[in-house]
Amino acid sequence: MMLYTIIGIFLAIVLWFTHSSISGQIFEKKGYNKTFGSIIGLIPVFGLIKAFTIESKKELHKGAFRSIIGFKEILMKILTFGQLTLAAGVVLFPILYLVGSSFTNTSELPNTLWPPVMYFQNYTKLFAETKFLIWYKNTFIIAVLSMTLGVIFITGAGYVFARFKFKGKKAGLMGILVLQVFPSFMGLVAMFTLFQVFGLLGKPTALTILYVGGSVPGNIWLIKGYLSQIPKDLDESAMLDGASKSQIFFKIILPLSVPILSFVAVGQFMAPWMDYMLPKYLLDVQLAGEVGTDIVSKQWTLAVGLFSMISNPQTTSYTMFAAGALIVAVPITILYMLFQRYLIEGITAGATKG
Amino acid sequence: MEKKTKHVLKAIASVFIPGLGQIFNKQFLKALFFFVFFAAFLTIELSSGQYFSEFDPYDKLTEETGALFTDDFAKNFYQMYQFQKSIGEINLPEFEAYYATVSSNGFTMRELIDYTAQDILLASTPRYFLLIDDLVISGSKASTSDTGEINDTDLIIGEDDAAIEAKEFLSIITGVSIFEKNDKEYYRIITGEGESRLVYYVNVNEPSDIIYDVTGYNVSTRTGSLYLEQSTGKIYVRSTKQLSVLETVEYRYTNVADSADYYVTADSLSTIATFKSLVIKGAVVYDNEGTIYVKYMPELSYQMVNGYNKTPFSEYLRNYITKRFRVSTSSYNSTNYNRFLIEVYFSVHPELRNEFESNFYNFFNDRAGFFVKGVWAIITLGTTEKVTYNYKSLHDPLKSVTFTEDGIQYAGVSGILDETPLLGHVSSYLLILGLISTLLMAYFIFAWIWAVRDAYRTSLKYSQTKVYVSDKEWFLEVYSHGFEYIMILPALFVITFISIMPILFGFLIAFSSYSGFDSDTGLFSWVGFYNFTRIFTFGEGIPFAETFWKVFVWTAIWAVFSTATVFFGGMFQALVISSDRVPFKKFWRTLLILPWAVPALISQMAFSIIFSEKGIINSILKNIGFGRTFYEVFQDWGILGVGYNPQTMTFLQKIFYLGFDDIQWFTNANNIWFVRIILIVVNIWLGAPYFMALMTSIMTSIDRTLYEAADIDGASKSQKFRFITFPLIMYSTAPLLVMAFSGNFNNFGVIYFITQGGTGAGDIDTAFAGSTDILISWMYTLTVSKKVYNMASVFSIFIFLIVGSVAAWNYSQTKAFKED
Repeated sequence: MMLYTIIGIFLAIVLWFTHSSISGQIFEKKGYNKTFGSIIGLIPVFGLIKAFTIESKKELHKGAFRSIIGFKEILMKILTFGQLTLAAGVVLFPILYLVGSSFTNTSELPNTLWPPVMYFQNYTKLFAETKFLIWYKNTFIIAVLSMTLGVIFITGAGYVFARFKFKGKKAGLMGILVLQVFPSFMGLVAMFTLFQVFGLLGKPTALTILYVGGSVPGNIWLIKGYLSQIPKDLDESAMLDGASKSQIFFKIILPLSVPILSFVAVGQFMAPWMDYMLPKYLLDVQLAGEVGTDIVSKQWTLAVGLFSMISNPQTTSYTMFAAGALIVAVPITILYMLFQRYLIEGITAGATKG
Repeated sequence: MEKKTKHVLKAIASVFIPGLGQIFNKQFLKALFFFVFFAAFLTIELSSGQYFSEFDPYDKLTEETGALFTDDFAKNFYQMYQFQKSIGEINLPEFEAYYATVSSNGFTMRELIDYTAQDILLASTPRYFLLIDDLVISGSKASTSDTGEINDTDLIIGEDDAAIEAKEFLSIITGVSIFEKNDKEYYRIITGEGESRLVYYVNVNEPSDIIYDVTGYNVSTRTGSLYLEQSTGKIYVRSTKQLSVLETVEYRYTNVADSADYYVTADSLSTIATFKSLVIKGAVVYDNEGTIYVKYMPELSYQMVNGYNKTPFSEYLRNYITKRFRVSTSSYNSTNYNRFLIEVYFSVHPELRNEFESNFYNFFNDRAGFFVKGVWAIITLGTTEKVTYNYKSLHDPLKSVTFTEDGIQYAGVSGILDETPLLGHVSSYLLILGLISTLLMAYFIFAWIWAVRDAYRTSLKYSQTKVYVSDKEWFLEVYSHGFEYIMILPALFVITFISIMPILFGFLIAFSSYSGFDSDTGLFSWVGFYNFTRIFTFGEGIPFAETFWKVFVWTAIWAVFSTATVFFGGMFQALVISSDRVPFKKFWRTLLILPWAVPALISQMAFSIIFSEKGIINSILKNIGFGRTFYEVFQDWGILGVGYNPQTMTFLQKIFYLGFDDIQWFTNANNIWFVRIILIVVNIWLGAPYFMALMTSIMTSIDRTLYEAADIDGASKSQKFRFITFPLIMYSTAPLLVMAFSGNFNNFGVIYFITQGGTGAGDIDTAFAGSTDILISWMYTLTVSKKVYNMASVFSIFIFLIVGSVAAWNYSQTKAFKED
């Protein structure tokens, strides 16, 4: 029975959009704004009637609408909107499920998309029963430190690589590329040993060193790519006016590179939130002289903590995981959605133009 | 020619002391500048080493266990002895004789220890003794109580070696697992450790009969305890066989001399009343044509009994120590006691003391400075194995026990250990240290070469122009040229020590034997290309070769298909959205880009929940359908709800097999390709939106006039796509396609967070790889939970070569590369 309901709703939505699309196209033919027409077309039946009856601003030849409401065209429209609706359903399903789970009152795996009764205690329990706040704090400190240090370390080097020709430049750039191709795990054991030698295991802030160090090579290329787009005449005319290299850097280049630096900063800030491997390996360590899982979990970051909620049989809590995951994911998702144009095209530019 | 020699000489001067050549060039400030580098180098080297101070290996022992009793302790001991002797409580003439020979320079702790060792050794002579002769029956149990007395029948090692050799001793195997089937019994033999561990089974009666698989055999455990049949004096070995987990235990008594003579009983004591258990002190039992000898080796100490015999002196000494500990002002604790035991143990076994002194005093490890030690470390990876000194055999003579003297009870000292482990050189630490010091040294060497070249060039220039560049001018010039280098330096340092060093380390361990749980705190060594040959060596040890190729093929398939589905899925969606039919393009785009914006880690974890066996997808499929639910339909088809049976199932049922109780999306062990395909499909959700968004923005930026021109030429829609849209999209996304390929090749998240490696992850039979593991996630398991570091490193080099060649080709195509 449920399946028929779902199919029914699906077909209704598809027809609705088809309806709107036809209206929009007819309005366009009649010389109106297409989007305006499509919005009118969202009103079932009325929209279509309005589209046909509204006075045309243009001279219409006979059979002008055949390309819009022909059988083949209608079929294509239904298929198109069928695909889009299906895709939207597939996209929304896991997201809705995650949101729904966070409001479900069960100790098991929630098996409904949305709970029959809203239950908000998962969020309060998350803070009361797990170390969520501590994980959040750990991660936040790492993120801020690695953002600040990352930007400081990278700016000068990026500028030099973009602007100057010097001995060893090409070798350096190639070397950086080679470094980046090595799988990130390769250094894992070394980092563990390094942390062990210096007594840094289980210390969240120490991870910053690795995030900063690991990001330098990639960011050099990124900044170099961006700065290469700024015309060199700027520097040269400043040089003729007697400005030194460091003056050019601070007075001209630095203000111009604010966009790319903020991009780097955001990237640096984001990385620790979703990194699992390093914190799991380097922070989930029982330190000598300390007993109890309690202390170990205090050293975690969010990613490790969240995954422990669904992978560790003793502490499994799917609903609290969902609540925690949403708290982390929502700000990031909103940020990505707001800057999507910049992010997506930024990556493209970096890849094609260098 | 003569002139050139002058320049070379100046350069050579700078080779020995950077800055010296500059002094000859009369550039004193510059000389100072270079000399600073040299001085810094020397300072680091000298201050980090112990070149000028004494080094005592025993300091290490003190650090790890505790300090030895001071010499005053020995003196006080002797005073106490004299006092108690004077009141007639004790008399040990041998000790006094010894004291007389050493006392001239005062009695030291070392001398007391040496005497203790000598005294203990004298009382415990290693030998073979006839078990029957030494049996003392006490109560219901028989036991051997070796009091140190030597019988006529004893063969003393060192004295009667010829007689010992004449006898053919056959060791009685005791305490091993035995597997049994159809009256055939096999011992389990385990050789090697860690990866080279080999398990095989040898027939009890026929050593040439060796098997490797004991499926179907029953386990029986020989406890190895010896029994004496009192009426005949025959000796039997008792083996225990567990018939079932909870139920009866069966005992089997086998005559050591004649295996055909045995008794089987369900109860050891009541049934065979004449059998007496023998507790044998510190011994290995040997059979010589039916006569049982026990080899008495005092240093072998066993669970129940301790090796060396106590002597009147040792008893006096240990009680003295106990009393000293019980004095309220005593500053000693059990760590000092343990140290004392180790020292006595060393004197009992001088070869161990020598070994300790030579192993724990290594010039390079213990005295050399940062740079010299680093080079040594990389070359040798350390030389001293960690050791554990087990001095339990000294417990009988020397371990403090509770005793009463003059009506006062002195409680024994607690916290006395059986053994003390001593960390040797730790190869992984040494390698890290070696890499850090060598990389840092590279910077100094760079400055050094600079100094040498400068000395030569300045000299040459002077001979041509007769003008020395002034120091000030030179520094200004260096600064203006050096601006670039100075700016790069911080980043360079970070890259050197946080990117290059770990990768170098990871790279180098592929050529080492670094693997196994002990290797983190022990030694490993260079093994050349051995680990690389293992991926071509089939059928030996842990099946790395077999698994590697399987995983590699799947990784390649995964990378190709997941990239293709994501890329073309994204392109298709973009085309649909950009169609004229679709109003509200922004809405659709925003909606469908959501998966890209949600952090991948979160969505991957969500998918692992959604597709779990009790997850929502299964519960939906269980409840909905056209008339019959989907579950029922699958069950009708015989692909769900039945056990996997390749004999009875049809081909289609096999390839569509879903699971037993529920659909096993990611845990299906019988149908791994089903799991893998699901994974590729799920990955579309994660990856396609990015390409969709990318391509819609590219499509909107395509010049409209191109299409208009095509319209005029009468091109159809599909022609416009083929000749305009598609080539333009490919032109700007091809590099990203290649990047996506490398990304998916190393897509750890999808594999690990959704499937955790799939079924079989962590099994030794598959070399720890699960059914969905790709190289990178397999590597992660190998590194993090299985500690097979060297093989993990070999695989990462492999990944590097593959991804690297793809990326190198890709980068060589970019404009950025060509410009520079």
